[in-house]
Amino acid sequence: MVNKIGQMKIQQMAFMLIAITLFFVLVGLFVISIFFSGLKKEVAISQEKDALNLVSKIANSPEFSCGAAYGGQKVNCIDLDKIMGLIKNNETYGNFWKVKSLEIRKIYPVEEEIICNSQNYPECNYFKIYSKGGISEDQSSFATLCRKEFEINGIYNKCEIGKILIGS
Amino acid sequence: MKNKKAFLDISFSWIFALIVGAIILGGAIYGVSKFTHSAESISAVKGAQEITILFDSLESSFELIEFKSFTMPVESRIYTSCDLNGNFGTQGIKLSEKIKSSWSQDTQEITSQNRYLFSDKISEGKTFNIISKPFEFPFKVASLIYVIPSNKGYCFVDAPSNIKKELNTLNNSKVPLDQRSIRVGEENCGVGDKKVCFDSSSCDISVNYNQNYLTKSGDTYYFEGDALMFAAIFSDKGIYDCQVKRLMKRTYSLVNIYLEKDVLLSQKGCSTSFALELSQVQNFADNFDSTEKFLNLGYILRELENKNRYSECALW
Repeated sequence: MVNKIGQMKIQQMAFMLIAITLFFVLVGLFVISIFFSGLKKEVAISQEKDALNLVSKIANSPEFSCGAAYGGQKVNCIDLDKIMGLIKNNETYGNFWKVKSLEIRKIYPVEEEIICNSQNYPECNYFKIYSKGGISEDQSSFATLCRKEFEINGIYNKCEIGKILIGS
Repeated sequence: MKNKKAFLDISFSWIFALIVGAIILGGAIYGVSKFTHSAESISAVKGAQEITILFDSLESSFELIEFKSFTMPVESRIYTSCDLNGNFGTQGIKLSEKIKSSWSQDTQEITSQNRYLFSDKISEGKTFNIISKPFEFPFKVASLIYVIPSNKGYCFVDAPSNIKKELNTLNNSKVPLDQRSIRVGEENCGVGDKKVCFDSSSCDISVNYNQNYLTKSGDTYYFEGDALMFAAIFSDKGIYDCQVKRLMKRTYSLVNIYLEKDVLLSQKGCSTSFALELSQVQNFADNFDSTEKFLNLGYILRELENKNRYSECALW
């Protein structure tokens, strides 16, 4: 009889201890989930900030930017003549900007999409610079697309409106 | 005998409770310490990420020189690393925060192939000044970023007028006076400031501006252009040499783009050819192994710069 009461007590205690352990584990999980949900938000905000900066950073990087070639420094001005050189050397750049895809589109006038290559440039409107596993257009920014144009009367700067798109 | 038996007479339930209790407590302590450790690491990585976003905003700027400052929530260390592997090499940045008199460890490094940070290997402080300046060779290669803790001051004595003018623009920034690391003129030098002299060799850093080199802590740093001069002043020798080599790697790739553009413009009817000088710069960048080699290149860079400036079909 005494043994049976003792066994009961042990069972009660074991159940109690399991209940306490489960309680603390659940409380711990709750705290961690609150902590990480806040963190997820912060990561999303940080990634958004990063991506926005990245578009501007890429458009104004030496590989893309007009520099002073079209008269004075311009923000978000992309030199298309340089882009053709970049497309030829895109393997070297690989993961340089840590993006999945990188492309530039002329947005005006709206025409059928023609991918640019050395044969059809400048009679084209879509510059596919880099693409790793499909195209995703996560972030974009308007940019001025400039190139040197030649006529019988001489050389002039031709600038059009376009968009730089990155998939990150 | 009876006493001995009484001494050992602890009920099984007590022993059971003690053992399981100890396991629960041990587990809880282990969990809390792990959680605290990961929270510290997360905080450090968040800080490093914020800093890199700040760097990106500076790099997009067209200013000749730009100055910003940021304050960390606690005393922090910024670890800078540089690696030459790959087409462009890699820049690493890691943040460690001081928590209860010890530095957080095992924080994740944020790497980038397109960033060039010049600083000591470890920069320690709560407020940091960051200065950005484009490096041109003679076309823009990258924006260099100098990181200086606000508790570390540099005093520029007898600087040439163009340097003085540039540094004085920093004084117009919104950064509070006591947090600025740069001072111009001997009369403004603070106690503990590192003196940067341009006409004397008896300072912490002696710059021979005309000969393109400076001496610091017994080491000689060769530079080309003001951006690299500042980089040499503010950074550790190992970081400086590695980052300059990375810049030369990028120069090499940029020349490929400019050579393609040159061909394209020539085909269209623009007769100015940059190919010879560009190839010389590319050859220099390809064989670059020591900053001392800068001494032989100045003439070609000036020639290329002038050709581009007065060309109808400028490349950059």
